[in-house]
This record gives sequence, C-alpha cells and structure tokens, in this order.
Amino acid sequence: MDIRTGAVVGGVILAAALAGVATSQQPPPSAVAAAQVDLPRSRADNAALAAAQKEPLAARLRGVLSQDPESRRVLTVADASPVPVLAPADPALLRTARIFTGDRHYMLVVQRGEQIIEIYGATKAFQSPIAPAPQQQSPTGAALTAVRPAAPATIARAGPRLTASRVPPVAAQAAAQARAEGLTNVRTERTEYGVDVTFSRFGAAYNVSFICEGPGAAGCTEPEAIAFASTLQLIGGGAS
Amino acid sequence: MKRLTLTALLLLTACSPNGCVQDPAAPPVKTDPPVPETMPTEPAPAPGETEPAPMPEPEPVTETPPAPEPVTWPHDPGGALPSGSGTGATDATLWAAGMRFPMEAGPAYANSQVYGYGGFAAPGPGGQCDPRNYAYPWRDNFCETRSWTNGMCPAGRGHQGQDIRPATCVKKVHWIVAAESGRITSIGSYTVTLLGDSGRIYRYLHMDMPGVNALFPTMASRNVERGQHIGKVSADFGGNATTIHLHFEIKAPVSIAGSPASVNFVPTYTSLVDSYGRLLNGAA
Repeated sequence: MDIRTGAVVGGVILAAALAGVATSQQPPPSAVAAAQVDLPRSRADNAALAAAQKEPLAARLRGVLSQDPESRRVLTVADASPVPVLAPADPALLRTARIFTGDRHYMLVVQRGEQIIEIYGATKAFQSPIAPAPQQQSPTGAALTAVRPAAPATIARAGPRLTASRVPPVAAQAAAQARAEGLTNVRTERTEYGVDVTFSRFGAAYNVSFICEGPGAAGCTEPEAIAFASTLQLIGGGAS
Repeated sequence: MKRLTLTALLLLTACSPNGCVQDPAAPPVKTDPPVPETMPTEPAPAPGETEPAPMPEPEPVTETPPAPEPVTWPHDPGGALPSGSGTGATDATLWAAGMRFPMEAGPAYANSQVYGYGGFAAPGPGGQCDPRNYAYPWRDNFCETRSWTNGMCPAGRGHQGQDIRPATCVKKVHWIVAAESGRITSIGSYTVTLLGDSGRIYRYLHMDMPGVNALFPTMASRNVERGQHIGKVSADFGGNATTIHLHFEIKAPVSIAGSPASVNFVPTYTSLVDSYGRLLNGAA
C-alpha cells in the first residue's frame, strides 16, 4: 500500500469511527418529551404590534430609559429581542429593570418595594407529543382558559389537559380593561408566593409573576395583577 | 505507513460507544506483549526430520462482563397521588427533557410535606424527620389538594410543583443545583427563580436564603451552569413554618393542540423521575 492509499484508507476509517462514536453518544429522544414550536404571528398581531410601537407613552418610556446608562442597556437588549418586550409604564419602576433574553424569550425583572415582578414573554412554546386531539373549543371570554377533553383512564400515557378556571367576578373590570388593551387568554393563578397572570398579545405568550411572599401584600390581588398587565407598554423588540 | 494505518485502526476500534475514555470501573484491558520488530528465526528442521504436529491452541477465555443492571428505585407513577390528597395530573409528558435533577446527590425523596408525617395533614403521629418520610417510594404531589390555581390539574387548582426531601433531615447540608444553564433572575425571601436557556422558568423554594445570597452577591454572579450549586436545602418560608424540603416547580410556555399557547405550571414529576434515574446511573 502506497502512502496515498494508506492516507485515504486511514481517513475513511477515522471519519467512520468518529461518526460512529458521535452518533452513539446521543441518547434517543424520549417518545414523551415536549418539543419546541414557534408561535405564529397573525396579520392582526402584526397590526397590533405596529400600533403599539407608535404609542406616545411607549416613546416617552424609551426616552426615560435612554437617559441612564444602565437603563439604556435594557433598551438595547429589548430592541434586539425577537419577542415584543413589554415593560411597566411607571418610569420609577422601569428604572429598576433588569432584562434577560434568550432564544425567543425574555424576562424583565423590576422591584416594587419588597415585591419582585417578573415579566416573561416567549414566541415559542413547548408542545406535548402525546396531547390528545382537541374535541371541543374553549368557552369564549378573556377570563376562561381552554378546556381539554377528559383524559383517558390510564394515567401513564395521557397527555396534558388544561382545566377551566374562571377569574373571580371582582376581576371582571380588570379583565375588560385587559381586553381593551389587546390582551387575550387572560388567566390568573394564586401561587405559593403571590400571584401570576398569563395572557397572549402580539401572538406571543406572556406571564407576569408577582413574588409577594406574604399574604395580604399590597398589589398582589388577582384584579391588581390583571390591571398591571393591562398597563404594560411595548419598549422594543418583536422584529421578525 | 502500513503500521501507522494498523495502529490507527486498533486505536479506533478500541473506543466504546461512550468514547475512548476508559471506564475506571472496568477491569484493566489485558494487552498482548509488544511484537518485536524482527521475529527470531526458528531453526529449520533437519532434512528427513518431520515437523512435530503443532500443539492445539487453547481456546481463548473471553470473559465479557455482564452489562450492569440499571439502578432503579421504587417510585409510584406520575399522577398517582396518595389517597385523600387530591387527584393528580393525567399528563405523562416529559416537559423538561434532559434536566439536571435539582439536588446534587441522592438519595432524595419526592413526597408530600403536607400529607407526610409532621405535615399539616399528616397520616398519623410523627415528626418531619420520621423515617417514613425519608424512604422510597417516590410519590407525585403535583396537583395535590391546595388552594393554588393550576390549570393542569383536574380540579383546576392544586400544588404547582413537587416537594423533595434530601437524604437526611438536616438543614443547610444538602446542595441544590441548577436544573439547566441559565440565569438566576430573582432571589426573594424564600424563592429563587432560574430562567433556563431553554426558556423554562424553574422556581426553587425554601432554600437556605442567606447561603443563596452569599453565593450570588452580584448580578454578574448570577449566570449559572447546569449542575452548579445554587444553595442548600432548608426550611426558609419568610418567617412561616415549613419542613425541611425543596419545593421545585417548572413554568413554561405551552402549546396544547386546540388551545392558545399560554405560560403554565407543568407537571414536574415525570421530569424528576427521568433526571433522578440518570443521576443514580451516573449520567446526571
């Protein structure tokens, strides 16, 4: 075997072996693992986003942020985010903001006294491969979650289901305000540390967590959470 | 060149599917003595002398060690809540595939701190350190009866995460680690939020909070790698009483066919079973 033939044979063996080792190290994906999917943005979502970008209040907030070097960094990061970045309308609160971004998601954290408020948005979602096909639509109204069909009798292989949960009547006014601001699928959750409100806007999924860490903390009721979410302003991002 | 090619071939075929790193637990590989460059020449048989019949080669004894049995532990199926503690989530989806088990080491015991011994709704007399709390089987307690809203629960409300007790009933000893790489976005008086690179939100409750704050004194220190220490198991609850345990929850944007995408608490038990199995088998 001459040098050239030897080199070719060696190369082929090396490539085959490396490929074998590399592929054999990957565990097979689980049949029940959730996969990520993009959330589509409709024409109406694009129109709502364009309108929000022209909001005078949003422009004022951007002006506030651009005055301070630390806040300016928040603005720069927000502008680069593929997710439309919603932020509190209160400039004082906005000055405490820290922003974290990743692949099609962001989290903006502000501090209101002892309370931590985390505003999260994503234009992707996890989808279950074992979710049963839908059989019924959710009831209408911003205050209701989707209803999934009853789960199969066996626990082990069932997919996820969402249960309807009605927003308390006291939140009806706040829910109406949310609808007026373009929030849909609004849902609140009492948590072990405060309250969460989730909603859709601009085709993205949002969640605001109020970490109040104590019963009766100010600004931690469900109507207050919805009202807060309704006043969030677009400060950047969303370029697709 | 021929020798080089042969050597490369031998080296590559020696690699296991897990790479070329030798398993320290594996018996040492027996190698043949090196072949000398020039073979000694045997004396040629004298004319007329018949060559002796070659001795039969002994059959090589190849001892293939049996594949190790995967380490398992007793655990109830997901959604099977103990009687009287509510109705579990009927969802076997692995919502956090590849997640690192949130405690550094086993054993750890997933069960209820409310419906367990020493809890508010204990099944009988006994304290939180009762050995029955620190024993298998694991039990799911996502959706366990609580007043918290939870759209993933059949009742529409229930526990939003999973309680996990560490190896022993001692505070500030057992390390908690990051479930995936990401950033610690907030540290409250008994909550720690980790935003994973995947976009999942992990929340850890009741850790030793002074210890957590000491680990992450600045914003710059809050970028974490999967498996990095983020604190120790304790019972901090903002001045209220709870048992020594970790409350671990996952929130993520979820798209379920027919429903608009929303950010939900997702059942944690399946992902914990998956990650604990890997931890016990040395592949955390």
